[in-house]
Amino acid sequence: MKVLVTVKQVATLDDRLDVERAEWDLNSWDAHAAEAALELGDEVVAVTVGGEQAREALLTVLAMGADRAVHITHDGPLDPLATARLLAPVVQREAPDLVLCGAHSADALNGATGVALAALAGLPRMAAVKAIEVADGAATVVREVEGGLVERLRVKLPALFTVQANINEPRYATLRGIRKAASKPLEVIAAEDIRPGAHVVATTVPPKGEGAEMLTGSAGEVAARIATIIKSKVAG
Amino acid sequence: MDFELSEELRLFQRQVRKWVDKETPKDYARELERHEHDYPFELWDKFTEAGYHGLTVPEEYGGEGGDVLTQMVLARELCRSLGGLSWVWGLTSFAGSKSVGLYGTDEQKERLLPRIANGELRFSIGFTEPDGGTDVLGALKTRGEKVDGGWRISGTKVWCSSAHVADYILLLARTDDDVAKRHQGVSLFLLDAKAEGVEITELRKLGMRAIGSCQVNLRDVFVPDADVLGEPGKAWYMLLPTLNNERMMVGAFCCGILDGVLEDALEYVKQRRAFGRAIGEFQTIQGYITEIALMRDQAELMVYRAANLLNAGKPCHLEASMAKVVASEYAVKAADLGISILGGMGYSADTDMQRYWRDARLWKIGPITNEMARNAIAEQLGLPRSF
Repeated sequence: MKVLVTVKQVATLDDRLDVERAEWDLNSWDAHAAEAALELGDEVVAVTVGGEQAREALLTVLAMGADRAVHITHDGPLDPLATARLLAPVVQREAPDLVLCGAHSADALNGATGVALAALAGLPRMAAVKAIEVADGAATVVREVEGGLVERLRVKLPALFTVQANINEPRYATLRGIRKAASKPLEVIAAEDIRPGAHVVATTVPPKGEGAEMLTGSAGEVAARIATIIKSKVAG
Repeated sequence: MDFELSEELRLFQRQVRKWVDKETPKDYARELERHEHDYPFELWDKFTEAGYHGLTVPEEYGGEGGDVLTQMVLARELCRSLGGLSWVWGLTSFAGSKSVGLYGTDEQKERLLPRIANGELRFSIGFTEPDGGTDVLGALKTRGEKVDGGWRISGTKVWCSSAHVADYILLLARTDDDVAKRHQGVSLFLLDAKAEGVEITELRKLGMRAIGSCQVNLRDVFVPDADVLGEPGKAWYMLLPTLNNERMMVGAFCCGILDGVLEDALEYVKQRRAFGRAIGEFQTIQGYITEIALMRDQAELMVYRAANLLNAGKPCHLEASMAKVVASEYAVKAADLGISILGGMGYSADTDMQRYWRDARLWKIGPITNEMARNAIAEQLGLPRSF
């Protein structure tokens, strides 16, 4: 079975919001999607949209075991629909049996790219799945829905699923895997000129509120302080 | 001049950091370290599963490959959380895979390296003796006598890390007294730690707990010819590259300690409040934090320079010794500042500053004392030999 997994390299920003000094890494939900792809697929293709730093997301998934990768190069911000528009031609060209995406990215938290991609590629989709089983050209997926209910669905393939973090434990890339990744096929495609429908105007740190108390100390000390606070609030 | 890690090393570093944060976080290390005489077999097995024992073992012997820089990256990332427990991996990496890889015969490599890579074999090291460690050759009383098919070895070694759980002890012994210079006539043996005549007792100590440091008494222990490492009588000439590797690894471990100290101190000063504000707003505390960061970056540059030289096959004894001295002194100083920053919490066994301090303190006196390393550095600078 051929599985295509979409991935994103995300930046972890601290209070300084300094992108130049940000730590970049594979979006953790995409690591779960990649692990699921490797467990299910005989052939796994990883695809990303992004600037030079996005290449490392692909190398990480190749090091985990993916067979080849496609880097759609694009500098600058994109909204989910614009990203999906760039991904869709690759999905249509590759014609995979299954497309897997992370449920959302740690930096943007839109949770929309996978869903938009399914619409553009004309694929049935299930969002936020936590288990996938494939048999006889169809997939059975499990989702957790509101109220703690568990939903089990059967979907004919090809289809697109966005996956939750509790679906699996992603493997670590070994040194040998990392070295092999450098020689695996990595196709680079220049993105078409595309304009995002929406763009981020500003990112700011929210103002600090009052009333929070950070508790430090040993477990016993912290527990004693919590007990004191609870007593004072309840008794008060 | 390039100060960046390669793409491959950057990816590897990121994977190791994730692995450490999930598999061996600091509270896990603290718990293991509390049990001074319980060797952490579980930690060994985690390293096996991650493939770390195979690092620097060539792929044709079942290893992960990688060079000295790769080894340094792993050492540093492990030590950021594990501190001295990183030797659970490091000892076999340098005394086993590095030594056998450099000096082993083809037969020894084929027999030992795949088993090292898959975590079957643990190595200890037996150089130091009760009468001295700095003057190893002057104190060397362990003798190897040639017998039919091998050697009979007798003597006493101390500070043999993890010898009580080791399969082999990389052992230094004098095999010829009739020599012009004392560094001639010494040999290296891969001594079976479970052989008849080997008696091992554990020592108690300040830090580096749980890995077990041992005294090893040897009474007529037979070592077959197949387990002599390199040419008999010429061990001292082989030791230098191994010792350089050991010094760099200590330097990398100290960089890891510096990383751990800095991140713990930074986190604490942002949260802890005094006189109505976070203590990180006080100038003295900021000065301490800055000092730790300055030391961390200096140590890092020196360790990576030495490793780059060794990778390139260039002389690096001077640079490896310098890196070891600077990194170990900074690691202890940083952990000490960390204790000052955290105050009572820094002294508490429920936080890591005291553990970093106790573990790093070893590396100022071992595997070579910084005083002796300074003598060696002075000699490399052209001054008369002082020892």
